[in-house]
Amino acid sequence: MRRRDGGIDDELQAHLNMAIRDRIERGEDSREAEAGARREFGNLAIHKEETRGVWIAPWLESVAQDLKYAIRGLRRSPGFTAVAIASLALGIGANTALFTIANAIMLKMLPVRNPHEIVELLQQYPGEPRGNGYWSVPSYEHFRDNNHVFSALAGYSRDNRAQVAIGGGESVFMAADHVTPNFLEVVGIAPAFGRLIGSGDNGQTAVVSWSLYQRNPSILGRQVSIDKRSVTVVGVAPAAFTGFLIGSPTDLWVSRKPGLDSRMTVMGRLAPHATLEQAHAEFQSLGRFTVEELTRTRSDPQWKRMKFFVDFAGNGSGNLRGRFGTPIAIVMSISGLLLLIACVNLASLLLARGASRQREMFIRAGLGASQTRLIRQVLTESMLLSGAGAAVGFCISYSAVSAVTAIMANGRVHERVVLNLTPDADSLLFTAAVAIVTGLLFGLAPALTAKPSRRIHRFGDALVAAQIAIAVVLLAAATLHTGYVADLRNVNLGFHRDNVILMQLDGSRGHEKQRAVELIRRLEALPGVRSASIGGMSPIQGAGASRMVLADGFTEDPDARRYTSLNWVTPRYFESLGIPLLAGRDFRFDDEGRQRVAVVSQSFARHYFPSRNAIGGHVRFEGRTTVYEIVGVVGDAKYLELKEAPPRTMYMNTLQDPNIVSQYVIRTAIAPGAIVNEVRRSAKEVAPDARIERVTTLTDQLDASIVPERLVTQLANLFGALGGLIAAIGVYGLLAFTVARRTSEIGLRMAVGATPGDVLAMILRQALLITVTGVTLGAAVASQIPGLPASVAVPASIAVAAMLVVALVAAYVPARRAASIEPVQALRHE
Amino acid sequence: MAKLDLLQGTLDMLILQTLRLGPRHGYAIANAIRAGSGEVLQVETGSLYPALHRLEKRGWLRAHWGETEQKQRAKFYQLTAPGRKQLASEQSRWAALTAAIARLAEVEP
Repeated sequence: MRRRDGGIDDELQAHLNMAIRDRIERGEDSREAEAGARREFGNLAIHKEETRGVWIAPWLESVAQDLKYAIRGLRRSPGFTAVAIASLALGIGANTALFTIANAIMLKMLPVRNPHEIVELLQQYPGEPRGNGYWSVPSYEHFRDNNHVFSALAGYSRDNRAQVAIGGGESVFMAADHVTPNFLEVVGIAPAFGRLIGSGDNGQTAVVSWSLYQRNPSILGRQVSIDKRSVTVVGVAPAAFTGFLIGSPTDLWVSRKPGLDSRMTVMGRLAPHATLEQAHAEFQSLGRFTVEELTRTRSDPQWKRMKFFVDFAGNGSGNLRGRFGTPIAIVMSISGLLLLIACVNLASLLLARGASRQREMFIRAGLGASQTRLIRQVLTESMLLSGAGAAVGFCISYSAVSAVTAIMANGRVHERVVLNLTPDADSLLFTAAVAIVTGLLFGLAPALTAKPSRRIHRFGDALVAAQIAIAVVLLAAATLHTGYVADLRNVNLGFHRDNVILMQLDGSRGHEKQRAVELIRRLEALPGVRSASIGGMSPIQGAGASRMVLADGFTEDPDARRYTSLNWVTPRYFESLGIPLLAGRDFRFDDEGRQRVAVVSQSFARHYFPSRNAIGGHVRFEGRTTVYEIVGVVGDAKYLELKEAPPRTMYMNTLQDPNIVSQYVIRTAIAPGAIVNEVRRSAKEVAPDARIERVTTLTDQLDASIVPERLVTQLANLFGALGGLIAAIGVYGLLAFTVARRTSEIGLRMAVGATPGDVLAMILRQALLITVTGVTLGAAVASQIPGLPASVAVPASIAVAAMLVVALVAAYVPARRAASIEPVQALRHE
Repeated sequence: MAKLDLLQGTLDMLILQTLRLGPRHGYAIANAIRAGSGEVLQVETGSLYPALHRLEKRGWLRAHWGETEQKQRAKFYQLTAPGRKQLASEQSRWAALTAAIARLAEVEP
């Protein structure tokens, strides 16, 4: 088209040139000739437009006409149109929202120079699900000075609870990255204002994030206090760069104080000549330095099996991707299936509609519309539907993104997720692509089957069976995940989760042992409280302590040694959590000042005292001399994560230590909500200086630990229900159409003696055939659902049963209608 | 889609007729029609080029770029085989039409 446009310009210009030349040859002077020729020629621009219009107009006209027909056709069946647009909008909206999130946490490159060069150095302890990057300063320096594959390395330590005071104001918690002097240079950002941290800054400077700058526009050039250290703000980071950790934006980057020994995340840039594989290979041997360094102070047989690797980090780092990557992928495949079922549903409905519009098509063909033209019109209609569905879906995706990120942000304190996401240009592009693909997907089959034949009806049956099959897969996935989460929540916890209040006091101020004991007494005196106690950490808090333990009279293969999980607790801690005391005794208040005692878990006792009574046994930590006498054995309980098996655990009496731990664990006889204010007030009265950091319930804490699993479950259930509904609409639509098409045939059958019961059975037989085919296929696919350590047999059976019921209910309405056909009217109808 | 009026049909036929003798560009076609009709028929540029492109699109004309004797680059149009067939049928239609009109003119003075 464009080549022709250029041609038209040249062609008309040539005409004008020749007319001018002729006039000059006839004796006119050149100005006169040009004016005359132009006058005769007329309006050049209009001629161009009209000539071009010869090529474009008919095409545009026919598109406009197709659109007009399509809109008219859709308005004639508003019910169908509404169902079509709604189901597409839900499917496309869900997929766009999930794509937006997946794009942000997995795909999108950081706004830095050459992001494809950015890597992160990682180590993985055997058995840990993911690598981590917490390197000592000497390790970092060793890697920096001895590698041949990185053009630069830089490190930072994240402090999520840095106390920052701006201009003498109250200090607030912020996320601060303590960075090596070259860090921001290596990352490759340009400051929005001011400068980056430089090599001579020696811990005296900071660069603030754009959002912190927005909140404090006068911050540039001023002193701020970070953990009581004063630094000068020398620059502002660009708005697009919020740090490396996805879902955990940095508030400020602080020049690392020389001598600071906190462990660092180490990032680097690959040297121009180096590949990721080469870097990885070299880092295998560099990493040995870290093992030697660790082994100097302690020993752990597992360190020999530590893995060291270099990972691409141009799209950010952190554990958000590890935690939510797989769940989001699972949810995306489920929402993909939802969209697929919506497409198949529309294809089957359009096919049924197409068959009933055969007469219209024949008329139009008779009036001279070509076959391709008719196909194009059906496609226009489906594209119009998918376009409308995509437009509504894109709007839906805004709230869907906020809903999903809100669920993601529900995690535990140390798993904070801050994702301020809205669908962006990438999302819009994705939506548009999905709209086109879906439009083609559900439009093509009806478009290509223009001729009436029995095969079309078979094809329609097959499409409905496919919907049932997909719905079975969706429902099986939903049931599977629901069961999995219910198991995580309830099975083999080792403690009782209900009616436990957890209250965390700031252990650093105003919380001495005397007051702690007094507070316990006060809490236990509250009506509705069964028992109160303190622990170093509460179950599934996600943080804990562990050590190698040595037991008198027990030796084991050094390579088989494993860490023992530790907790420091007061008397009645086990009672508060419902952990059963299996042998011996609980801690006592009067243990204070006596021989150190310990209570151990059953699996600890079995391991270290395989053939002896653990009670009375003596244990100590490797590298320490303090000996603990075991006075009790309690049941195994989960410790860090619900997904893990309960570890060997050893409990110490915190009252025997100089400093007392500060997590209150309170079992109530009534609903925790009814008493939580009393608990807070007691804490304020007994320890007025101590800050209450957090009050929650054990149930909420457990739920917060399985946010990804709950996210998958909630969405799988939502999509499963929608999928079932769509399949039901498919069954209903197909049978309603069948009944309408066969009205006269049914009338005839009844006229010659068929009873309404026979007709009902005939229609239901068709429904049953389709449904059984669908559920069989669906069950076969569902049995292959990957990803969970749970059996899919029961969920699949539940899904099959549910779908059978739903499909037969959907089939019953049109079947009833068929059975109530009046033979005489039906025959007259023809 | 096709707005059939006499004027356009006539112009189309005149263009095909003019090109019977060989390829010509738009300006030459306009001149030939004017001269051939004894300066009676003036071809508007605004009608000529849309007509040429419409005929090209229908496959009755083929176009190529060339140079005139005065070294002016111009687009030359040429009759195709379907074009010749079309011309023949237009001519016979035209002959029938003029004959019919002539007869009417004789009958009713």
